Parts: sequence; C-alpha cells; structure tokens
Amino acid sequence: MSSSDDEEDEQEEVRVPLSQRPEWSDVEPIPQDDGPNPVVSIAYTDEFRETMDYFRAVFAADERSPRALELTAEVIHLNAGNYTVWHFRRLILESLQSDLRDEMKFFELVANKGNHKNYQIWHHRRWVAEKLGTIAATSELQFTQEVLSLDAKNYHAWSHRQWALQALGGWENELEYCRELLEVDILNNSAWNQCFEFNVQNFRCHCIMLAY
Amino acid sequence: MSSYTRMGELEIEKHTQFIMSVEKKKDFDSMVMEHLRMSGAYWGLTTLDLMGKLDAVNREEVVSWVLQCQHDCGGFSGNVGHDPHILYTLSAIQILALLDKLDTIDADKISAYIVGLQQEDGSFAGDEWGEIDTRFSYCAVCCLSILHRLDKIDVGKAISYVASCKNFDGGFGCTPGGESHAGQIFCCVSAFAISGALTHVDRDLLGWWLCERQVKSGGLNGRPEKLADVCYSWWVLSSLTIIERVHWIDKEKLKTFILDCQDKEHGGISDRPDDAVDVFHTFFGIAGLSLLEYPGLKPIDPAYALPVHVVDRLFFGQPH
Repeated sequence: MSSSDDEEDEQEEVRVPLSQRPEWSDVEPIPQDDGPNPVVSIAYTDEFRETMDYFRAVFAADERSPRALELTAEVIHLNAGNYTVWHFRRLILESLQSDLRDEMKFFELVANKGNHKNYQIWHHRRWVAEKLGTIAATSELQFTQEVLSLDAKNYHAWSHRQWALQALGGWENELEYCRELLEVDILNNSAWNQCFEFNVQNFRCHCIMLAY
Repeated sequence: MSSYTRMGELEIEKHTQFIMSVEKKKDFDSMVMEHLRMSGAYWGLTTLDLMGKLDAVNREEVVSWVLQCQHDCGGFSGNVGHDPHILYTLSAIQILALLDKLDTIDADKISAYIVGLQQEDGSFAGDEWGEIDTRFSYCAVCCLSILHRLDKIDVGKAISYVASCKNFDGGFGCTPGGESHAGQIFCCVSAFAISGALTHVDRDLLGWWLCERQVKSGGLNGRPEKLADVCYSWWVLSSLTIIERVHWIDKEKLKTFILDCQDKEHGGISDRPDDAVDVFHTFFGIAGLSLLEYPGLKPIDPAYALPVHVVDRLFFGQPH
C-alpha cells in the first residue's frame, strides 16, 4: 500500500498502533489461532494482524461501546468483505441507538474506496435504510444513481435500487431514468431489464386500480 | 503472449504448487480472503482432486479446522472467529463430502440450521441478518441434498421462489425482477436440477441466452455486453450442461481462452489473460475444462460442483 503521494504518506504516518493508544491500554488482544499446520493459510500485514487481534478481544467480550464502533470502522477499512465485523457493527449501532443518518455517511466513505461490488456493504445499507424508513426514499435513489453513473451495470446498485423502489416508492419516475441511461448506452442490459420491471410494476398498479 | 496456432497445455504441476504454497506475500488479496477461507479451501481442494493431486493434503488437519468453524446453531463460518453463514456451511459440507468425512458431523443439526433460514415465501436468508438471494436457495438445496435431508425444507415453496426469479429472457436474477446473471442462473438451474424441477426452465430460451455469452476471444461473459471472465466458464457452462445445450457454444475456443488465462510460470489462473491469478479463478477455470472433458482431469458434476466420483459415492455408495 505504499505511495509516493504526499497526502497518503501523511495518512499512513497518522495511524498509531492500537497497542500505543491509551484508550486501548485495558484490552488484551487475542491473536488468531490457525493451528500448527494451517490449510490455505494467509499472510497478514502487521496493521491488519493487530487490528484483528483487538477486534477479536472486543467481539469475545461483546463490548458495544463507541470505541468498539470505531474499531469496527478500522477493520472495515482494511477488509470491507469481513461480514462478521459488519454484523457486530450493527449490534453496536442498535445498542448505542446511534443516529443512522451518520451511518449512511460512513457507508459512502467505505463504498467510494473501490467497494461498490461488495455484498456486505450493500446489505448493511439496506439494513440502515429499512430502519430509517421512508425518509431514506430519496437518498437511496440518489445514491444508486451516483453509483450507476460510475458503473451503469453495477448489479448490487440495481438490486438495491429495485428494493428501494419497492419498499420506499418511486416507480412512476423510473422509466424516464432508464431512458436517460439508454440514450448513453443503448446496449445497457441492466437498464432494459429495469424497463421490463417498470412495466411489470405498472401492470400490477393498474390491476390493483381496476380491482377497485 | 498466447499462441493461437496450437492449444496451450494445462500446467497441472504449476497449479498444484500454486494451491499448496503457503503465501508469504503480505498482499491485499490475502487479507481480503480471511473471512471466506472456507470457500477458498473448497476451491483449492476440489481443484486438487480434479487434477488428481488431493493426496498432497493432510485430510485430518483440514477436517479438524473445518469442524472448528462450526457453531452451536449447526452452521459453519468462513473462518474461525466468524459468524455462521449458509455460504460457508455449503463449502464446509462440500469439503467434508470431498474428503469422505461426512461422518464427523451431525447432519440433523446442520439441516435444522438451514431449515431455520427458509422464509415464508420459500426464499432463504444467508444468515440471521436476513439478506435474501437465490444464491442461498442453491446453498440450501445443495447442502441438504448432500446430507440426504432435502425433505426437511419446504421444497415446493423453495422451488416456487426460485421460479419467481425467472425473467423474460429465460434467465434468473438474485431476487424477483433482478437482471439475469450467469452466476444467479447457475444457482437457480442447479437448484431445479437437484430438486427434480427442471421443468421450470425454458431450455431453448435460456440456452440461447447462455450461448450468447461467448465473445470473440472464445471466453464467456456473465451478462450481455460485459467482459469475458474465466469464472463464467463454470457458471455458464455448468448451466448449459444441465439443460443439455453445451453444444451451442464453441468448446474449442473456450478451452483456448481458459488455457490462455494461466500463469504458466508461477501457476494459477486469472479472470482474463495476463491478469493476476487467484484460487477462485483457478478452480472455475479447471472446473470449466473438466466440463469440456479436457484430458487428465476428473469429471465434475455440474450441479453439485463436486467431482463425479464424490457425487456417486454420496448417492450410490454407503448411506450415512
């Protein structure tokens, strides 16, 4: 992860090992035990190893504190695919009754580090959006639109967008959005699929209206 | 870099070394695989067996580590210290089936874990957090079938849910309305195959969609207008095999593409030629070659994603 970029060097200098942070002095880190002859064993950087050792300690103690929440953020920045850490983060957020609108900002920070194709972060976003309810309707469509502007076929983004439309509303405007995408790339299969789904949803709405 | 005048050879010894080597490089890829080590082990071990090299592994140590990943609820996690999940439960059972060590686990306990993940509409959650995806329907059906306990879930509802994910193009997505995707298609078609429900598949329509995945290079993509990737050599090919339409693609061109994705110096296979290798693409490349009947590889079952001799032992060998 070395870089000649000055900003990145500055960030690397800023990270203080957990063992040297006074707020963590009471915690005994738990090392990973792979047994004597590990199968498909994995080599780790010191930073990763230390962060995971401290995470194991708070996880084992089921500590749901602000410092534990920050630690889950550090683990996630190292490995956004670690589903166990995301689980634990959700438990902490529930216990602390955190403002989930802040969680959306955290999500975007993680996603924008090249994690737009990660199952765990999208599932976490859905969990947060479900908790927030209809106030998240606009933000979810906006966010997926931003991701799709970078990668118009991102499967996770489309899947999340379909869920948001279904759960939080907004199908009536979707065909127009698909038209815009198809004007850019007529071969965008994801947009065509969404057009089809719009018709399915539209048909359902009409059936319900006719039933009344 | 590659020769189109003759087909490259499969470097079995190099790939064996690649899988067996203990990675001392402290690189990003190693770190991000930590939580899905169970699947990594399944990919590596199955590839070794397909190449006839499974004897290089200490089976007792593998089984011991797999069992350490089982939780009280019956599910398995991706690694020690992680939470259980249906994905890694399937990988664990596949590993134990491969090593003929299914007698080390309590099949009823694992079945109960999976049954608990089935939802009212027949779908399956991945774990207690409730993510729904047809991948998990496949994991449930495949795992329970290996354990001879498919009857423990509501199979009818499970199949109905998968069928509700069928799209206008004959393909399947992750949830109803989700775009057709080769990976999801493999999951749905295999779930149908294992449950004896292939009547839900329009073989000609889906076969056409699948064979259209082959691009100029001979490789296969996962959706229209996307890049070819070696992993689709498995997902597309296994689906085509199950619906008996594999002759609708150019098999020789696909073989050449997969062989061109090898790192002939250090071993391993990558997503496309000249990219970095990993165990995921190594497995799917070799599994794809097995389906293409490449000489020297054992045959693989397209639905269970296990060598045929393992599946034969499960269903025609000694009952557990």
